[in-house]
Amino acid sequence: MRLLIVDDSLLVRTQLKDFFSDSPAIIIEEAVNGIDALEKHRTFKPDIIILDYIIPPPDGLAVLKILSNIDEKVKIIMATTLGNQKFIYKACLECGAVAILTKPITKENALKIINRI
Amino acid sequence: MINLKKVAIDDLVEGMISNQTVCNDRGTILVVQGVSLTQSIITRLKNFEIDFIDILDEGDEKESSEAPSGIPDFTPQKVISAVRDLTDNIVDLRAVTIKKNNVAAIEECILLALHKPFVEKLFAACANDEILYKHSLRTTIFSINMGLAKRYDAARLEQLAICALLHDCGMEKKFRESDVEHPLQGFMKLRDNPEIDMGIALVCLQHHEHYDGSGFPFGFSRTQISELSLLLAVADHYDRLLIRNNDPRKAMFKTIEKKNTFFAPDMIDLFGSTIDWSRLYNIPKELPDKEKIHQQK
Repeated sequence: MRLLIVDDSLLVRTQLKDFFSDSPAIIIEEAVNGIDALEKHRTFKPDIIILDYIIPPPDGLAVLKILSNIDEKVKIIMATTLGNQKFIYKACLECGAVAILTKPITKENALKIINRI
Repeated sequence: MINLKKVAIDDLVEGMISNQTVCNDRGTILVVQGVSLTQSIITRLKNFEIDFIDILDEGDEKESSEAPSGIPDFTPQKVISAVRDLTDNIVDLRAVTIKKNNVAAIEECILLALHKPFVEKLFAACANDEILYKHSLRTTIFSINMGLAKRYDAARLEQLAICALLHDCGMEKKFRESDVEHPLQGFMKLRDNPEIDMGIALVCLQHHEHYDGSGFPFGFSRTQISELSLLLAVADHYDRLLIRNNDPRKAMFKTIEKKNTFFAPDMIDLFGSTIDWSRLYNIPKELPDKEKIHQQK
Protein backbone atom coordinates (compact mmCIF):
# COMPACT_ATOMS: atom_id res chain seq x y z
CA MET A 1 0.00 0.00 0.00
CA ARG A 2 1.27 3.45 -0.89
CA LEU A 3 0.71 6.23 1.63
CA LEU A 4 1.29 9.95 1.02
CA ILE A 5 1.65 12.19 4.07
CA VAL A 6 0.99 15.88 3.38
CA ASP A 7 1.93 18.28 6.17
CA ASP A 8 4.15 21.37 6.31
CA SER A 9 5.43 20.34 9.75
CA LEU A 10 8.48 18.07 9.67
CA LEU A 11 7.66 16.94 13.21
CA VAL A 12 4.20 15.69 12.24
CA ARG A 13 5.52 13.95 9.11
CA THR A 14 8.28 12.20 11.07
CA GLN A 15 5.84 11.20 13.81
CA LEU A 16 3.39 9.73 11.29
CA LYS A 17 6.20 7.83 9.53
CA ASP A 18 7.25 6.36 12.88
CA PHE A 19 3.71 5.14 13.52
CA PHE A 20 3.82 3.04 10.36
CA SER A 21 7.46 1.92 10.59
CA ASP A 22 6.35 -1.50 11.91
CA SER A 23 4.33 -2.13 8.75
CA PRO A 24 6.69 -3.01 5.88
CA ALA A 25 3.75 -3.28 3.50
CA ILE A 26 3.26 0.47 3.69
CA ILE A 27 5.44 2.56 1.35
CA ILE A 28 5.50 6.17 2.49
CA GLU A 29 6.12 9.43 0.60
CA GLU A 30 5.92 12.98 1.92
CA ALA A 31 4.72 16.34 0.60
CA VAL A 32 5.05 19.75 2.25
CA ASN A 33 2.45 21.94 0.52
CA GLY A 34 -0.54 21.84 -1.81
CA ILE A 35 1.36 21.94 -5.11
CA ASP A 36 3.82 19.32 -3.82
CA ALA A 37 0.86 17.13 -2.83
CA LEU A 38 -0.58 17.35 -6.37
CA GLU A 39 2.88 16.62 -7.84
CA LYS A 40 3.46 13.59 -5.57
CA HIS A 41 -0.04 12.34 -6.36
CA ARG A 42 0.92 12.41 -10.05
CA THR A 43 4.28 10.67 -9.66
CA PHE A 44 3.89 8.46 -6.55
CA LYS A 45 0.26 7.40 -7.24
CA PRO A 46 -0.74 6.80 -3.61
CA ASP A 47 -3.63 4.60 -2.43
CA ILE A 48 -4.16 6.64 0.73
CA ILE A 49 -3.35 10.26 1.55
CA ILE A 50 -3.20 11.80 5.02
CA LEU A 51 -3.75 15.45 4.20
CA ASP A 52 -3.38 18.33 6.65
CA TYR A 53 -6.16 20.94 6.47
CA ILE A 54 -3.87 23.95 6.88
CA ILE A 55 -0.91 23.80 4.48
CA PRO A 56 0.74 26.43 2.24
CA PRO A 57 -1.52 27.22 -0.75
CA PRO A 58 -3.51 25.68 -2.17
CA ASP A 59 -4.83 24.56 1.23
CA GLY A 60 -5.88 21.05 2.23
CA LEU A 61 -9.54 21.52 1.33
CA ALA A 62 -8.63 22.74 -2.18
CA VAL A 63 -6.29 19.78 -2.72
CA LEU A 64 -9.02 17.45 -1.43
CA LYS A 65 -11.53 18.91 -3.92
CA ILE A 66 -9.15 18.55 -6.85
CA LEU A 67 -7.94 15.05 -6.04
CA SER A 68 -11.34 13.57 -5.24
CA ASN A 69 -12.50 14.98 -8.58
CA ILE A 70 -9.72 13.55 -10.73
CA ASP A 71 -8.99 10.29 -8.90
CA GLU A 72 -11.89 8.16 -7.68
CA LYS A 73 -9.67 5.45 -6.23
CA VAL A 74 -7.53 7.45 -3.81
CA LYS A 75 -8.75 7.54 -0.21
CA ILE A 76 -8.09 10.82 1.57
CA ILE A 77 -7.95 11.25 5.35
CA MET A 78 -8.04 14.86 6.49
CA ALA A 79 -5.89 15.77 9.50
CA THR A 80 -6.83 18.88 11.42
CA THR A 81 -6.67 20.55 14.78
CA LEU A 82 -10.04 22.07 13.89
CA GLY A 83 -11.75 18.69 13.62
CA ASN A 84 -14.09 19.44 16.47
CA GLN A 85 -15.67 22.27 14.49
CA LYS A 86 -18.70 20.81 12.79
CA PHE A 87 -18.60 22.91 9.61
CA ILE A 88 -15.04 21.83 8.82
CA TYR A 89 -15.89 18.20 9.47
CA LYS A 90 -18.92 18.54 7.18
CA ALA A 91 -17.01 20.37 4.42
CA CYS A 92 -14.27 17.71 4.37
CA LEU A 93 -16.70 14.81 4.17
CA GLU A 94 -18.79 16.56 1.49
CA CYS A 95 -15.66 17.10 -0.60
CA GLY A 96 -14.76 13.43 -0.55
CA ALA A 97 -12.68 12.75 2.59
CA VAL A 98 -13.17 9.22 3.94
CA ALA A 99 -12.22 10.12 7.50
CA ILE A 100 -10.99 12.91 9.76
CA LEU A 101 -7.97 12.59 12.04
CA THR A 102 -8.00 15.11 14.86
CA LYS A 103 -4.60 16.52 15.85
CA PRO A 104 -2.56 15.74 17.88
CA ILE A 105 -2.59 12.38 16.09
CA THR A 106 -1.98 9.31 18.24
CA LYS A 107 -0.56 6.04 16.96
CA GLU A 108 -3.73 4.20 17.98
CA ASN A 109 -6.00 6.57 16.04
CA ALA A 110 -3.81 6.57 12.95
CA LEU A 111 -3.52 2.77 12.79
CA LYS A 112 -7.22 2.32 13.55
CA ILE A 113 -8.28 4.56 10.66
CA ILE A 114 -5.77 3.10 8.19
CA ASN A 115 -6.84 -0.43 9.06
CA ARG A 116 -10.50 0.52 8.77
CA ILE A 117 -10.18 1.80 5.22
CA MET B 1 19.32 20.94 -42.37
CA ILE B 2 20.62 23.78 -40.20
CA ASN B 3 24.15 25.12 -40.76
CA LEU B 4 25.47 27.22 -37.92
CA LYS B 5 27.19 30.41 -38.90
CA LYS B 6 29.58 31.81 -36.30
CA VAL B 7 29.91 35.57 -36.61
CA ALA B 8 32.43 37.78 -34.80
CA ILE B 9 30.84 40.48 -32.65
CA ASP B 10 32.39 43.27 -34.74
CA ASP B 11 30.74 41.85 -37.88
CA LEU B 12 27.24 41.75 -36.41
CA VAL B 13 24.61 43.82 -38.16
CA GLU B 14 21.17 44.88 -36.95
CA GLY B 15 18.46 42.48 -38.07
CA MET B 16 20.58 39.31 -37.88
CA ILE B 17 18.86 36.54 -35.97
CA SER B 18 20.67 34.98 -33.03
CA ASN B 19 20.80 31.19 -33.10
CA GLN B 20 21.89 30.80 -29.48
CA THR B 21 21.08 32.12 -26.04
CA VAL B 22 24.05 34.01 -24.63
CA CYS B 23 24.55 34.58 -20.90
CA ASN B 24 27.19 36.50 -18.96
CA ASP B 25 29.32 34.97 -16.14
CA ARG B 26 26.50 35.47 -13.65
CA GLY B 27 23.95 33.71 -15.82
CA THR B 28 22.08 36.88 -16.83
CA ILE B 29 20.67 36.47 -20.32
CA LEU B 30 22.17 38.92 -22.82
CA VAL B 31 20.40 37.64 -25.91
CA VAL B 32 17.84 34.90 -26.45
CA GLN B 33 17.90 32.41 -29.31
CA GLY B 34 15.64 33.48 -32.16
CA VAL B 35 15.80 37.20 -31.39
CA SER B 36 16.46 39.72 -34.12
CA LEU B 37 19.57 41.69 -33.09
CA THR B 38 19.26 45.41 -32.39
CA GLN B 39 22.07 47.94 -31.94
CA SER B 40 21.53 47.92 -28.16
CA ILE B 41 21.86 44.13 -28.01
CA ILE B 42 25.06 44.24 -30.07
CA THR B 43 26.49 46.96 -27.79
CA ARG B 44 25.53 44.89 -24.74
CA LEU B 45 27.35 41.85 -26.17
CA LYS B 46 30.43 43.97 -26.83
CA ASN B 47 30.33 45.36 -23.28
CA PHE B 48 30.38 41.84 -21.90
CA GLU B 49 33.30 40.93 -24.17
CA ILE B 50 31.54 38.17 -26.07
CA ASP B 51 33.70 37.26 -29.09
CA PHE B 52 31.46 35.16 -31.35
CA ILE B 53 27.78 34.35 -31.66
CA ASP B 54 25.85 31.78 -33.70
CA ILE B 55 23.66 33.45 -36.30
CA LEU B 56 20.81 31.94 -38.27
CA ASP B 57 21.82 31.87 -41.92
CA GLU B 58 19.36 33.67 -44.23
CA GLY B 59 18.96 30.55 -46.30
CA ASP B 60 18.20 28.52 -43.18
CA GLU B 61 15.69 31.11 -42.04
CA LYS B 62 13.77 30.92 -45.29
CA GLU B 63 13.87 27.15 -45.16
CA SER B 64 12.63 26.95 -41.58
CA SER B 65 9.93 29.60 -41.96
CA GLU B 66 8.16 27.74 -44.69
CA ALA B 67 5.53 25.68 -42.95
CA PRO B 68 3.82 22.83 -44.77
CA SER B 69 0.60 24.10 -46.32
CA GLY B 70 -2.48 23.94 -44.12
CA ILE B 71 -0.53 23.79 -40.85
CA PRO B 72 -0.22 27.14 -39.04
CA ASP B 73 3.32 28.27 -38.43
CA PHE B 74 4.09 28.37 -34.71
CA THR B 75 7.86 28.81 -34.98
CA PRO B 76 9.10 31.19 -32.27
CA GLN B 77 10.04 33.80 -34.90
CA LYS B 78 6.50 33.85 -36.32
CA VAL B 79 4.96 34.02 -32.84
CA ILE B 80 7.25 36.91 -31.90
CA SER B 81 6.28 38.82 -35.03
CA ALA B 82 2.61 38.29 -34.05
CA VAL B 83 3.45 39.49 -30.51
CA ARG B 84 5.02 42.66 -31.99
CA ASP B 85 1.90 43.40 -34.03
CA LEU B 86 -0.37 42.80 -31.04
CA THR B 87 1.82 44.94 -28.76
CA ASP B 88 1.69 47.81 -31.27
CA ASN B 89 -2.07 47.38 -31.46
CA ILE B 90 -2.40 47.43 -27.66
CA VAL B 91 -0.30 50.59 -27.44
CA ASP B 92 -2.31 52.26 -30.24
CA LEU B 93 -5.57 51.33 -28.54
CA ARG B 94 -4.18 52.71 -25.27
CA ALA B 95 -5.35 49.48 -23.66
CA VAL B 96 -2.39 49.44 -21.28
CA THR B 97 0.93 51.22 -21.15
CA ILE B 98 3.91 49.09 -22.10
CA LYS B 99 7.28 50.71 -21.52
CA LYS B 100 9.90 50.34 -24.26
CA ASN B 101 12.12 48.16 -22.05
CA ASN B 102 9.14 46.01 -21.19
CA VAL B 103 8.39 45.30 -24.88
CA ALA B 104 11.79 43.62 -25.23
CA ALA B 105 11.40 41.81 -21.90
CA ILE B 106 7.96 40.50 -22.91
CA GLU B 107 9.36 39.16 -26.19
CA GLU B 108 12.27 37.51 -24.38
CA CYS B 109 9.97 35.82 -21.86
CA ILE B 110 7.72 34.46 -24.62
CA LEU B 111 10.72 33.24 -26.60
CA LEU B 112 12.21 31.52 -23.56
CA ALA B 113 8.88 29.82 -22.93
CA LEU B 114 8.48 28.73 -26.56
CA HIS B 115 11.99 27.31 -26.68
CA LYS B 116 10.79 24.55 -24.41
CA PRO B 117 9.63 21.95 -26.97
CA PHE B 118 6.66 20.83 -24.89
CA VAL B 119 5.37 24.42 -24.63
CA GLU B 120 5.72 25.04 -28.36
CA LYS B 121 3.98 21.75 -29.12
CA LEU B 122 1.11 22.31 -26.68
CA PHE B 123 0.65 25.93 -27.74
CA ALA B 124 0.54 24.93 -31.42
CA ALA B 125 -1.99 22.21 -30.62
CA CYS B 126 -4.31 24.42 -28.61
CA ALA B 127 -4.15 27.72 -30.50
CA ASN B 128 -5.23 26.69 -33.98
CA ASP B 129 -8.17 29.07 -33.82
CA GLU B 130 -7.17 32.67 -34.66
CA ILE B 131 -9.22 34.25 -31.85
CA LEU B 132 -7.80 31.80 -29.32
CA TYR B 133 -4.27 32.33 -30.65
CA LYS B 134 -4.47 36.11 -30.37
CA HIS B 135 -6.29 35.93 -27.02
CA SER B 136 -3.52 33.70 -25.60
CA LEU B 137 -0.81 36.05 -26.85
CA ARG B 138 -2.53 39.25 -25.66
CA THR B 139 -3.21 37.69 -22.24
CA THR B 140 0.49 36.77 -22.10
CA ILE B 141 1.50 40.34 -22.97
CA PHE B 142 -0.81 41.83 -20.28
CA SER B 143 0.33 39.25 -17.70
CA ILE B 144 4.06 39.72 -18.24
CA ASN B 145 3.59 43.49 -18.23
CA MET B 146 1.96 43.11 -14.80
CA GLY B 147 4.66 40.65 -13.71
CA LEU B 148 7.34 43.18 -14.65
CA ALA B 149 5.53 45.86 -12.65
CA LYS B 150 5.52 43.45 -9.70
CA ARG B 151 9.28 42.94 -10.21
CA TYR B 152 9.12 39.18 -10.64
CA ASP B 153 12.48 37.55 -11.36
CA ALA B 154 13.31 35.94 -14.73
CA ALA B 155 12.30 32.41 -13.69
CA ARG B 156 8.93 33.56 -12.36
CA LEU B 157 8.29 35.61 -15.52
CA GLU B 158 9.08 32.60 -17.68
CA GLN B 159 6.69 30.47 -15.63
CA LEU B 160 4.04 33.19 -15.99
CA ALA B 161 4.59 33.25 -19.77
CA ILE B 162 4.08 29.47 -20.00
CA CYS B 163 0.94 29.70 -17.84
CA ALA B 164 -0.51 32.49 -19.98
CA LEU B 165 0.32 30.83 -23.31
CA LEU B 166 -1.28 27.56 -22.22
CA HIS B 167 -4.07 28.79 -19.93
CA ASP B 168 -6.84 27.97 -22.45
CA CYS B 169 -5.33 24.69 -23.70
CA GLY B 170 -8.45 22.87 -22.49
CA MET B 171 -10.58 24.64 -25.12
CA GLU B 172 -10.00 22.08 -27.84
CA LYS B 173 -8.85 24.36 -30.64
CA LYS B 174 -11.76 26.82 -30.63
CA PHE B 175 -12.39 29.88 -28.48
CA ARG B 176 -15.73 29.46 -26.71
CA GLU B 177 -16.50 32.08 -24.12
CA SER B 178 -19.11 30.04 -22.29
CA ASP B 179 -16.96 26.90 -22.00
CA VAL B 180 -16.86 26.14 -18.26
CA GLU B 181 -15.21 22.75 -18.70
CA HIS B 182 -11.93 24.00 -20.15
CA PRO B 183 -10.02 24.79 -16.91
CA LEU B 184 -10.35 21.21 -15.65
CA GLN B 185 -9.75 19.71 -19.10
CA GLY B 186 -6.66 21.90 -19.52
CA PHE B 187 -5.41 20.91 -16.07
CA MET B 188 -5.78 17.21 -16.91
CA LYS B 189 -3.98 17.70 -20.22
CA LEU B 190 -1.06 19.52 -18.59
CA ARG B 191 -0.98 17.12 -15.63
CA ASP B 192 -0.60 14.17 -17.99
CA ASN B 193 2.57 15.73 -19.37
CA PRO B 194 5.40 14.91 -16.92
CA GLU B 195 7.49 17.83 -18.22
CA ILE B 196 4.91 20.37 -17.07
CA ASP B 197 5.37 21.79 -13.60
CA MET B 198 2.34 21.24 -11.36
CA GLY B 199 2.27 24.96 -10.53
CA ILE B 200 1.61 25.71 -14.22
CA ALA B 201 -1.15 23.09 -14.44
CA LEU B 202 -2.70 24.58 -11.30
CA VAL B 203 -2.83 28.07 -12.88
CA CYS B 204 -4.66 26.56 -15.85
CA LEU B 205 -7.16 25.00 -13.43
CA GLN B 206 -7.67 28.16 -11.38
CA HIS B 207 -7.72 31.00 -13.92
CA HIS B 208 -11.52 31.29 -13.73
CA GLU B 209 -11.71 31.05 -9.94
CA HIS B 210 -12.81 34.27 -8.25
CA TYR B 211 -11.37 35.91 -5.16
CA ASP B 212 -14.77 35.73 -3.42
CA GLY B 213 -15.31 32.05 -4.29
CA SER B 214 -17.90 32.65 -7.03
CA GLY B 215 -15.79 31.29 -9.90
CA PHE B 216 -15.51 27.89 -11.52
CA PRO B 217 -14.76 24.94 -11.66
CA PHE B 218 -14.37 24.45 -7.86
CA GLY B 219 -15.34 27.77 -6.29
CA PHE B 220 -11.95 28.28 -4.64
CA SER B 221 -11.37 31.58 -2.85
CA ARG B 222 -8.56 33.80 -1.57
CA THR B 223 -5.58 31.73 -0.32
CA GLN B 224 -6.82 28.63 -2.12
CA ILE B 225 -5.91 30.33 -5.40
CA SER B 226 -2.26 30.62 -6.42
CA GLU B 227 -0.75 34.08 -6.95
CA LEU B 228 -0.11 33.54 -10.66
CA SER B 229 -3.74 32.45 -11.14
CA LEU B 230 -4.96 35.62 -9.43
CA LEU B 231 -2.76 37.71 -11.74
CA LEU B 232 -3.66 35.82 -14.90
CA ALA B 233 -7.38 36.01 -14.08
CA VAL B 234 -7.29 39.82 -14.38
CA ALA B 235 -5.40 39.80 -17.69
CA ASP B 236 -7.65 37.06 -19.10
CA HIS B 237 -10.87 38.85 -18.06
CA TYR B 238 -9.70 42.16 -19.50
CA ASP B 239 -8.87 40.61 -22.86
CA ARG B 240 -12.18 38.75 -22.98
CA LEU B 241 -13.93 42.11 -22.53
CA LEU B 242 -11.86 43.56 -25.39
CA ILE B 243 -12.84 40.61 -27.59
CA ARG B 244 -16.49 41.37 -26.79
CA ASN B 245 -15.96 44.72 -28.53
CA ASN B 246 -15.79 46.77 -25.37
CA ASP B 247 -13.59 49.79 -25.88
CA PRO B 248 -10.48 49.74 -23.65
CA ARG B 249 -11.81 52.37 -21.26
CA LYS B 250 -15.07 50.47 -20.70
CA ALA B 251 -13.21 47.17 -20.36
CA MET B 252 -10.84 48.77 -17.87
CA PHE B 253 -13.64 50.01 -15.63
CA LYS B 254 -15.54 46.73 -15.90
CA THR B 255 -12.39 44.95 -14.72
CA ILE B 256 -11.54 47.38 -11.96
CA GLU B 257 -15.05 47.37 -10.51
CA LYS B 258 -14.62 43.66 -9.79
CA LYS B 259 -11.95 44.43 -7.17
CA ASN B 260 -12.52 42.36 -4.00
CA THR B 261 -15.24 40.30 -5.69
CA PHE B 262 -13.84 38.57 -8.77
CA PHE B 263 -10.28 39.77 -8.36
CA ALA B 264 -7.75 40.17 -5.55
CA PRO B 265 -7.34 43.84 -4.55
CA ASP B 266 -3.55 43.79 -4.92
CA MET B 267 -3.84 42.37 -8.46
CA ILE B 268 -6.29 45.09 -9.49
CA ASP B 269 -3.93 47.71 -8.03
CA LEU B 270 -1.12 46.12 -10.03
CA PHE B 271 -3.23 46.17 -13.18
CA GLY B 272 -4.11 49.83 -12.51
CA SER B 273 -0.41 50.64 -12.23
CA THR B 274 0.13 49.51 -15.84
CA ILE B 275 -2.34 52.08 -17.15
CA ASP B 276 -1.45 55.61 -18.15
CA TRP B 277 -4.73 57.25 -17.20
CA SER B 278 -3.94 60.61 -18.78
CA ARG B 279 -3.26 58.89 -22.11
CA LEU B 280 -6.40 56.84 -21.77
CA TYR B 281 -8.47 60.00 -21.39
CA ASN B 282 -6.51 61.79 -24.08
CA ILE B 283 -5.40 64.46 -21.62
CA PRO B 284 -2.34 66.30 -22.93
CA LYS B 285 0.56 66.08 -20.47
CA GLU B 286 1.20 69.83 -20.69
CA LEU B 287 -2.01 71.81 -20.61
CA PRO B 288 -1.98 74.85 -22.91
CA ASP B 289 -1.29 78.01 -20.89
CA LYS B 290 -3.96 80.61 -20.40
CA GLU B 291 -2.31 83.16 -22.71
CA LYS B 292 -2.42 80.84 -25.70
CA ILE B 293 -6.07 80.06 -25.03
CA HIS B 294 -6.75 83.79 -24.82
CA GLN B 295 -4.95 84.41 -28.12
CA GLN B 296 -6.89 81.61 -29.78
CA LYS B 297 -10.15 83.26 -28.70
